[in-house]
Amino acid sequence: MASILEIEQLNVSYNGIPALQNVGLQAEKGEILGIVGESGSGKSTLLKAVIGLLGDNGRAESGRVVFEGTDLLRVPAKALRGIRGARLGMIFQNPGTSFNPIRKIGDQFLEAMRSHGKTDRTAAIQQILEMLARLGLRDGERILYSYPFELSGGMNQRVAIALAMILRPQLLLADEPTSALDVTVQAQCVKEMMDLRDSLGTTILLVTHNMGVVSYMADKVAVMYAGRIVEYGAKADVLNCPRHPYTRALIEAIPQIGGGAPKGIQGQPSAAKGTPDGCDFSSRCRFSDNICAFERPVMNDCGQGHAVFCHKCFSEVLHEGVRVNGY
Amino acid sequence: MKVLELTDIKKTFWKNKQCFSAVDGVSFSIEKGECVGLVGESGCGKSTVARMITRLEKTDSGEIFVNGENVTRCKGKALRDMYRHIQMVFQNPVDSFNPRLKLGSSIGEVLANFGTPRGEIKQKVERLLVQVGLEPAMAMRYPHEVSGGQCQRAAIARAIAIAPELLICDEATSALDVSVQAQIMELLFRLRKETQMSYLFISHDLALVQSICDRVLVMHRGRIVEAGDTREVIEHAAHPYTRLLLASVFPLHPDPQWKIPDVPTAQGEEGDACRFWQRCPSCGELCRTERPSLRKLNERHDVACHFAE
Repeated sequence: MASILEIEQLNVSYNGIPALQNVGLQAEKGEILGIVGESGSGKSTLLKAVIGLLGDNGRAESGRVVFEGTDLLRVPAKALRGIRGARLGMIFQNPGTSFNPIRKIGDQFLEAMRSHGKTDRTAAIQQILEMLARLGLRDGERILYSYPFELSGGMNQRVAIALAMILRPQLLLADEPTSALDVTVQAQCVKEMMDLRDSLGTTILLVTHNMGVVSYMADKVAVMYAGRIVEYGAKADVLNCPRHPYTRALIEAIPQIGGGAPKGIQGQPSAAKGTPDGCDFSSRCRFSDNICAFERPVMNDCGQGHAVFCHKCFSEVLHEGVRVNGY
Repeated sequence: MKVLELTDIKKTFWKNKQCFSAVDGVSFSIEKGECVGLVGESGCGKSTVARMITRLEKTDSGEIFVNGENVTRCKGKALRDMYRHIQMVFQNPVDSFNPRLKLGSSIGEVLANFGTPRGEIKQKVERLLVQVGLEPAMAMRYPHEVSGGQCQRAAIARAIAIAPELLICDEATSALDVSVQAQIMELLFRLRKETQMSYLFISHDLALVQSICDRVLVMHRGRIVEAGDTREVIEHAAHPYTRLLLASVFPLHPDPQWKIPDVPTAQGEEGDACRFWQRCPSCGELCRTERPSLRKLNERHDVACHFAE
């Protein structure tokens, strides 16, 4: 099957400071790709680079972002407008700020639909109400005539998901879609996104720091650190049998019900520096030695699409007891 | 000995000429050296409880005792003395410092206010910074110059500067990355061992609370619905709301049978009855008319539900 999205050797910088380095990944139709990492690791920048929202000081220096056969980095602005919204949707982290505060929800839906050629108002409203009902919002009529501030955070986020999905995009970019929500509301939103994926076959790039959500939703997982993907593979491989020390440390830092005290990762999360040599994680890594400090690792393939950016990914020490929690 | 005791405290806010009961009769106490967790979703009143204890908010009714002394309406010198016993760490570390003061000055200010001689302040600040795992040189930085995790460490240093008996952490790690959150938790753990301080640890994250606390209080819409020893509450959750909370946490390695729970949304007024009845799977007639009060299930476990057993 051809990939919906293929990112190759993508380098992005803000004001000349590198934020993404040699990022490559691909997503098939209907697949959910989870992207995890600490803040500053470049997760959000990756999504912004795909949809072209890097802003004035951000620049995609090199690489390709191929979406359904077109390279989004080289598409003229006018053509990009036709793709964005219609075939490429995005959900932002903060539901309160992703809407225009002084226009009613319904108008914002209609504007999006009109600009992509859906001009029949009655049919459009019918379609919106259907989508809202699907997301568990029964009183759609009232929502259409409400302003964003009149709805609760959970409702706003569901409406934002509905707005992103209304034109049935092939690819949905979700930037921390449930992080601002309470656990019970988060559970509902996750369920609804899964339902939409199952019925519409949407591909989702899911950025989140909640490993539990990734574990539930994702098919593949990419772990990012300092602007690079350091581990990439099927969900079961990455979460149950992590091979990068960073992935393992990240998993151990998560508090779990019935689990012990979470273990911290020493040192500060580092931003992408573009240091000429050495592994970015070496200063915080339990397993690092000379080679890690002086030579940059390469992406090692461990089989079945499981790739790890580490010198030690084949080492015995690292793999002792590598399976977490009885898996 | 009880460091803190609350008896039936209440708080109502007025919004759009409507009365909204944020905290509706909360009672609990914290023993010396104990770590108590307060969990609940946003808007359940957990932060209001913390703000009432620290007198950032007035209490409508009910009493607050610190070390046996009634501090509900104390002011002036008595209030200052109260802050000797109780200190607080807030959610957003950068905002909780004066942006124009260096971290060292902010911490030193607390020491000066509580009677440390001028000459000793600098040395003491450095010792505090080391105690929370920061370089002494951090004293010369401004809040915006350090990372969130470092700033939260400094906030903890400030809170423990006068060796309080109770530290209130209001979502102290929610603004931080998981890796940094775990570091802060390790620090709180260590400080507790070193100083025998009591904690009131407020969070929305049940998994986090259970990793550090001896006792957990679950709050729902202004009331405590379940309270007890952490293991007891986690393993034998009796209130349907606690069960819902537990079931809504996405496990890292889920069982194949694990499913997202169905949650009906609550609508309309709930009156004086159980505030959870509209969302409750096991709601009966009694729940719509009568408010359940907190009753003992066993020695270490209380629940406010008519049907829990």
